[in-house]
Amino acid sequence: MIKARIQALSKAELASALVALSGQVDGAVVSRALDEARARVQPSASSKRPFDMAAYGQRRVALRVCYFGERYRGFASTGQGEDDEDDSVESALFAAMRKVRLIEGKAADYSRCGRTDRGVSALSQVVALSLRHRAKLDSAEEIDYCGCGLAHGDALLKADAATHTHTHSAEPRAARGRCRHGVEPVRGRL
Amino acid sequence: MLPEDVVVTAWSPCADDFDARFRCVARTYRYYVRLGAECDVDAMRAACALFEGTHDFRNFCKMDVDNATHFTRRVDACRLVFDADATARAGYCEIRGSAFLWHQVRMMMAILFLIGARREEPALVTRMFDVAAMPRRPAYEMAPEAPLVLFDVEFPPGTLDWQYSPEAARAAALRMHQRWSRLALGEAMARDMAAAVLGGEAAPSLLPASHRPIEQRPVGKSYEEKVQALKPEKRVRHSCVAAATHGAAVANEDDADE
Repeated sequence: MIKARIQALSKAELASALVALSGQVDGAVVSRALDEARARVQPSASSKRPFDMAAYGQRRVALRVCYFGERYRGFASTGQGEDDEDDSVESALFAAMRKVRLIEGKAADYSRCGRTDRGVSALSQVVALSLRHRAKLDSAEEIDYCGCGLAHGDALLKADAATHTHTHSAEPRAARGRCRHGVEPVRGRL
Repeated sequence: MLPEDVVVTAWSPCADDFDARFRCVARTYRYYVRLGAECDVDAMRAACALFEGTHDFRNFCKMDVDNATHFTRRVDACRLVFDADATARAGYCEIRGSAFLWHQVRMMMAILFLIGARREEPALVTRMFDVAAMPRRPAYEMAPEAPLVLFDVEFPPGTLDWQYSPEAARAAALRMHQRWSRLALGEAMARDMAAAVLGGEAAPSLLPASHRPIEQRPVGKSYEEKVQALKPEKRVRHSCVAAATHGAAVANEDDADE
């Protein structure tokens, strides 16, 4: 009974319960219990625990994608499946998303704004699909989907992802204009 | 994670029924050009103006009767843009429209280049829109793919709320800048090599040496002939449009924009 309740707790809830407990029992007992737990759990659990995608929730998102089409066979992948090694921009996108676990297997509810042909580029292609919602299980922190695919893409799975997230200002803007190219900070140099 | 030539520049939450293709209300393409001194820019500009409006573009696309049932598309704007004082006249042709047919932009550009080369006149565009007089597209090669960029896509106000990440933008800008530097070096090298090889000779014309007028070329199959060749079950959806085009009601059925 108590074991099941403990196992149902999130990391934050567990930490809070332990801190409260350490105020009531001998500190040395708690300290020893922590050491034993770490020794028991560390070698296997963290590396072998399967990633439970469902626990993170799904969210429908639109992405603005910029690409040089030179070395691609076009934007659209032929497969749409998990096995999409076909040198399309979409395949590269899906592969990166699987790597950082934004999707598993096939992209869900996927739509693209326009196809572009072999060798054609885009400054502003838009796709929509369902992606992992939460960055971590024990917080409501937003995922920065722009970060996907950059060198710090791993950060999606790390605690410091929050520092990369930026919600733009609430000031009204023209329907077209400011956000047109999706890369405001570098617009002048494109 | 992503290859260096692909960047996710912004993201937005969206409704469960949001569809990136069918909700899009306008697409803008840029076709980058370098126009030699011999090019008739005024004629090209006149032709650009003729492309604007709602027209039947079947003679400016690779007709795909499996997917498209009509060829009327709206072009909101078509304009040639380059620095007035640039010697090489490098710039782009920007085309904004609701939706585009397969290879439409590259076919439009091919005709535009022939007009710039004084091989055809701007009025050819108007004659190619007249599908009663020209029901079958003359054979001509579309412009190359590399200079074409899907530059912007628009959705109804309030549909999307773009979120940016300064961190991601900085990383992307760095990679873009590296690419630009690399290509600019190649450009400078090619320019000096060309000048050295020419050694004072006038630059050769890049225009095609011979030209067969578009309207005297062999033609492909008409829309009606292509529909007739379809299997009966695929022909069904075309029956309603066999008599006339859809006029101004441009459905978003086909956006195989290239």
